[in-house]
Amino acid sequence: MINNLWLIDDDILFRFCIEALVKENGSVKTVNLISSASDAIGKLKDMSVTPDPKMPDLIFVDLNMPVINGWEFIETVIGLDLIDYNQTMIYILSSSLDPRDLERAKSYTQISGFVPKPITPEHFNGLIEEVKTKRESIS
Amino acid sequence: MIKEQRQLSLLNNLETLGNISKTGYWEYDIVNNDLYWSEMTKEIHEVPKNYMPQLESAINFYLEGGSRETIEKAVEDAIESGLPFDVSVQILTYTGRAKWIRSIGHVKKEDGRVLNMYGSIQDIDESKGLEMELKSLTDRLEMAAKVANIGIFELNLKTNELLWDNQMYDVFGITKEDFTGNYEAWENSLHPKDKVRTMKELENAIAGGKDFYSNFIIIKPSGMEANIEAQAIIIKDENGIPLKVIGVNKDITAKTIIEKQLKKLYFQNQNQNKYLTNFAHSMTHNLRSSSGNLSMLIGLLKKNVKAEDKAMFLDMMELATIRLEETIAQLNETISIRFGEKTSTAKINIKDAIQKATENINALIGTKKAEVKITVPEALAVNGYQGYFESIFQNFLTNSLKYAREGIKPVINIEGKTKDDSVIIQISDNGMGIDLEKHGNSVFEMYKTFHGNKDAKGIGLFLTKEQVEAMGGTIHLESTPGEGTTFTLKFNK
Repeated sequence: MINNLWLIDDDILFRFCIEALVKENGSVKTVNLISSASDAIGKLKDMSVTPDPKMPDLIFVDLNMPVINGWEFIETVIGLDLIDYNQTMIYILSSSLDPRDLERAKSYTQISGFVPKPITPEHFNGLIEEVKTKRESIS
Repeated sequence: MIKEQRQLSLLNNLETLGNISKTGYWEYDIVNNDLYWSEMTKEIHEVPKNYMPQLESAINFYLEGGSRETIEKAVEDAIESGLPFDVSVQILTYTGRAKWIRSIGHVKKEDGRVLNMYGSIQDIDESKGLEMELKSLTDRLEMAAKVANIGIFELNLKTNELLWDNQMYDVFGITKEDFTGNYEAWENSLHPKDKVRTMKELENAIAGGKDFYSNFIIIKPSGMEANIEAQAIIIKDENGIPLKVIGVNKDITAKTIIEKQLKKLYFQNQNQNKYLTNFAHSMTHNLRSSSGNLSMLIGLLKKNVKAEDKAMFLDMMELATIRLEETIAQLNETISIRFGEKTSTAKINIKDAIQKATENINALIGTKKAEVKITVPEALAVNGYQGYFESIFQNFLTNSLKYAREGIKPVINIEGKTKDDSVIIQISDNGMGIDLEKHGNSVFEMYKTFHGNKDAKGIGLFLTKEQVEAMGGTIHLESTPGEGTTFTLKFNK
C-alpha cells in the first residue's frame, strides 16, 4: 500500500489525470497534488523539522516547470537532505524527449525511475505495482 | 718578309683568340665578289673545312624569317651608311641545327665607294640560351606575381629610396609619375587605423632583425581600400647594420571579403541550427503534452468514470483541446514570421505604433493603475511592419504589467532615439525583474516562463524576438530581480 503520493506538476490537466488514475488504481491511500516545486520544497522543509505521518512515500515530479524546475527541485531536496530515501521514492514523470534528461536521471541514485508522459492507466497501474515491490524488498 | 711574317703571326694569334671565344672572322671583297671564312667561322656554320662560301649561300644560312630579314637589312644599312652593324640572330647550320650567333660587320670605303666588308661571327648559342631561359623565367615570375597580385619592393634604409616593381604600382593604384620613390610613398598609403601599428611592426622588424610579416589596409589615390598581406626580410651588412628591406605585398582584398562572408555564414548557420533544434524541441514538447493529456483523458473515460464526474472530464478535454489549438496557432504564427513570404516593408512611425499598442490594452493599464511614459521623437521611424511593432510594444507592456511588483505602482518608460546609423528604443519598468544569472540564456526561448504566473504562456518574448529579428533588429535586456527590467531594441535607420 502507498500511503502518501505527491505529484509535483504545473499542468492542471496532468494533475487531474493522475488524480483519476489514483482513484481507478485503488492502492494509493492519499494523493497530494502540488502545482509548483517551491510549494513542495516548503512542505518538505516543514516536515523535516517535525516528523510527520503525511511524509510522502512516493514523489512524482515533472521536469519542465517555471521558477524551479524538476532538476532544481531534486538538487534542493538532496542538498538540504529533506528526504529519507528508505521511506520515500522519487520518480520523474516528463514528456521530455531529450536523451540528456534520461542520462541525467540515471546518474542519481536518489531517483528510482524516469517515466515518459503521457501515462496510460495500464502504465500507471504497472508503475504502482513496481513501487510496491521495491518497497517490500527494502522493508 | 719580316713584316709579312709578323702579319702572319698576328693572324695566328687572332685565330687562337677566336677559337677561345668561339669567334670566327670573315671578309667580303665586293669588287671581286670573293667571300672568305676563317676556320672558326666554318666551324660555327658546321661546314667541311674545304667549304667555299658564296655571298648567296652565306646569307641563306640565316634562319628564314626574322633572322634573315635582320641580317639583310643590317648589311644594306651598313653599305649605305658606312656604319658597322652588330646583331644577334639565328642560323641554321650545315648539319641542320638552329644556333644563335652574334654577327658584327664593318664597311671599308674608299672615295665614297664600298670596297669590302669584314667582320666577326660569334657562337652565342649557350649564352643566348641562358639569356632566353632567364627571360622566360623572369616573364613567368612576373606573370605569377601579376596573377597572384604580388608586388615586390626594396627599401634602402640608408638613402630612404623605395623601389617598386610594376605590380606594386597596380597593387597600390599609384602611377609611376605620382610615385615619390621613398618610404613616405608607402607610409602615406596606410589606412589611418593601421598606420601606427604597421609602422611599429616594420620598425621592430628592422631593429630586431626579425622578418617583417603584417596585414594592413591601404587607401589608394582613388579612395578605394585594399587589404594587403606583407612579408619582408631585412638585409644587414657584415656589422649587423640593417641596409635594406626587401619583400612582397599581396592584395588579399578578395580573399578577406570571402573569409568575412564565410565567417558570417558560419555563425548564421550555427544560430539557425540552434534555433531550429530549440524550436523543434519546444514544439514537440508542447504538442506532446497537449496530445498526451488528451489521450490520457480518453483512456480514463474508456474505463468506468462515474456519471457525476463526466462533466469534469469534458471540461478538461475542452481545456486540452484549446491548448492544442493554441499551440498549433503559435506554430503557425512563428513559421509565418520566420519563413513566411514578406510583404514589402514600410517606414513605421514608432510613436504611433506605441500609442496604438497602449490603446489596445488601456483596460489592463487602468486596472493596474499603471503609468506609461512615452518619450519618442515624433518623426522617429524604422523600416518594418506596423503589425509587428504594435505586437512588440503590446507584448512588452503586458509583460511589464503582468510582472509588476506587489504594492508598487507600475511605471513603464518607453524612450526612442537615433544614434549613428541606428534607432534605439528602450522599454524599462519597475517590476519584478528576471534573474538573468539563472535564466539569462533562455529568456527568449519558446515556452519559458519564469515567475509561475498562471497567465504565463512563455510565447511572448520568443515571438517578440522573432519579430524584431525579422525586421533586421536586435533585442537585448538588462534586469535586476526586485528592481525592474529594461529591454533595448536596435534597428537600422
